[in-house]
Amino acid sequence: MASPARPVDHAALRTNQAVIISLLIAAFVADAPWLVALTGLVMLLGSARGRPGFLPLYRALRGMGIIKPDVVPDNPEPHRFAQLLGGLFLAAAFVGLATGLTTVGWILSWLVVALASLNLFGGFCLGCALYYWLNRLGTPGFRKAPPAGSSPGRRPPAG
Amino acid sequence: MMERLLLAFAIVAAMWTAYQALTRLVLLLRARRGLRIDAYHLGRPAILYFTAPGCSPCETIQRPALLQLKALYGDRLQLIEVDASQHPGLADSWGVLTVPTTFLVDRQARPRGVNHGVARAGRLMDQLIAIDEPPPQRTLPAEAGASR
Repeated sequence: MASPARPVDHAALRTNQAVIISLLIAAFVADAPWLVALTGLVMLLGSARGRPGFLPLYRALRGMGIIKPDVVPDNPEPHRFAQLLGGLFLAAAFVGLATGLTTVGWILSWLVVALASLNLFGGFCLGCALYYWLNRLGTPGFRKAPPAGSSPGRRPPAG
Repeated sequence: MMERLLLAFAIVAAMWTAYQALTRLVLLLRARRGLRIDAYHLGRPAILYFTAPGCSPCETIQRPALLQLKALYGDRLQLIEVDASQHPGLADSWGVLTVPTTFLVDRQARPRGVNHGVARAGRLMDQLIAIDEPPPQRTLPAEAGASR
């Protein structure tokens, strides 16, 4: 059964994804594992606080009029879960990079880049789809079903 | 540093290629299963436009772009609009991930291209030209006023 949706600003989510992609590619190019750790930490903290990790940056860009809000009735929980997954992947990536498993570390980082890109450019949130799949399986803690008229992982229709 | 930058470009290019390949696969599967769009008439190319109520880029950018094309092509082009929220099964079967999404269908009912997200009139026209559907003139009308 569909859950009652709440307003979710998808512009904030997209900004978050764009920053994550940019930072991780910069980390790879500069060979800077600390930047992977920092990105992962911001994502994990954001998930713990129930919002996009790079929300302050979005607010600054919105304040300057560069980005406009795009509020859609949606469930914030799957997006939080997706961010948590990304943060955990980056934490594992950092551990790999710090312990000499550099290939594994960078593969995990690029996986996060790929999934964030799929969300940003293709409009499909794999972490959200996974959340809704766990909901269908009745997994405790995954209480939200996709909003009415939307499919798991896809952006719900506005209005 | 330069080596890593080139490697990053190569990885991004590989991801883009994989995404394009996946898109082509979806189109191929769709073509094999048939369009299943009642409004489509064989013999004329079509743009299948998935939208949803309240989708602001659909209203402010995508629809005007499509109407520009419609004004340019006239009856030679079919414009088929589908509300993805009203027809989720159809949107699923076409692999629609977001709105707006536009599919280009040739005159033999074969899906030939897709745009996930907004596609401007110029891009759509280039895609129509690529499937051998050149417009009567190469200049897009400034304002769209044609009906479907």
